[in-house]
Amino acid sequence: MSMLAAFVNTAMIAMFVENAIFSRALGTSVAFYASRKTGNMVGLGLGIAYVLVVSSLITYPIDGLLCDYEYFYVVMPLIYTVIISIVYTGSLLIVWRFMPKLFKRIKKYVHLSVFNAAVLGALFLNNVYHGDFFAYMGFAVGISAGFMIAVFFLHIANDRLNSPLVPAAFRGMPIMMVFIGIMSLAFYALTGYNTSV
Amino acid sequence: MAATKKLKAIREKKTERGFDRSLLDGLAKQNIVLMTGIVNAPVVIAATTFKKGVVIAIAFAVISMLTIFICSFVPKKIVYTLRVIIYALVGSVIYIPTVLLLEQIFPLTVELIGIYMPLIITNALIFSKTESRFYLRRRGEMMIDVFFFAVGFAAVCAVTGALREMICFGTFAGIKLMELNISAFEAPFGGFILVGIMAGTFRALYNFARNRRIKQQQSADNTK
Repeated sequence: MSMLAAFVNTAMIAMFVENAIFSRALGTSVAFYASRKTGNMVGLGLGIAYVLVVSSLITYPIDGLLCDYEYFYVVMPLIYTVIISIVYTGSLLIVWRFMPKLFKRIKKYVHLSVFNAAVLGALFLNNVYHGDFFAYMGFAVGISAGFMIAVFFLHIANDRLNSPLVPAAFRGMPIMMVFIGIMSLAFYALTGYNTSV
Repeated sequence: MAATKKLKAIREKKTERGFDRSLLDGLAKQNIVLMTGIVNAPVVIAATTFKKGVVIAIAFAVISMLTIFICSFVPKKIVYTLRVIIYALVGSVIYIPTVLLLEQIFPLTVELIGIYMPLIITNALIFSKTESRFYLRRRGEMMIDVFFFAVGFAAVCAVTGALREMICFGTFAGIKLMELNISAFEAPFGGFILVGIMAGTFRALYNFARNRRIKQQQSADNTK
């Protein structure tokens, strides 16, 4: 029961307090791209979730083994990139062999859901917090879910933010950034920020 | 075929003096933070002071330029879906000496930037722009092009850092300038809102300057 509690608790923290987009700006450009179409949103969201969870299963024991190594923080990106690359290649081979139709559909943007700041950044953050196995996996699931929630918010706002009511120069990316800023302010309140007065 | 067409279009833009003006696109027209928004995280979250902005800019320039140059030798026969793995690995290897060197020069600042330093490895300049732009050019031109993209990023990163430092602490590069202390602006929302406003303003100014140049050119043509 305590394992499940650790999993859910960390997942909730990762989803709302450490939200990939609103609190950490991880994978913002991918989120902009994903928010344009419902298909992109689901596909990229699931892709990121899959890579993050499977990679976390591998990085957990490695983090435990190398955490005392003085220069781990320097080689950590290389180790994580190797792990992500193995997960990516292995998964692609399986999809290519057994689901050729799906492979054709995803091969154009599959790399976007693998080599982005959301995946690598979440692995770095998980290393910083390094809880027990269930907390570690909960964080990976939570970050993925948080990313999907953020993309969903952007998707909903997409049409309004690109409407003629918005000045032409601000339409698209600039107003989207301001919108994320306002959403981020709302999420910031969840961390328990209080004014001094 | 499509790539050849793109290359032709780029080369046709050469000016009378033979200098390809599209090589300067990274500075303003296609600035990766303010115009295309493909690199955000380090600027929005980590560039909270001028010094941090400068350190991120240096790391970004070194890692991106070296990675793109080395990866330009990767054979195009390898499909892009797999070639990205090589790009990521090369970037991670280059990150090691870069961060060790920067740590010697700016020890505390590198530590404060935290996870946003290694995240430079996964920037869109390496993963997207290489295929759609840089690798369509000759190697020399490509490096000039990448250099101006890095300069464009560096300018925005340093300016954002300086502005946030002034708003948050009333200082510039650690020197007290005014009595201003809105420390909440150091939080992510401050970065998002500031970069969003900067991007909108920059686009408006860019469009204004472009339209004026077109009008001037048209009136000059009419008088001829």
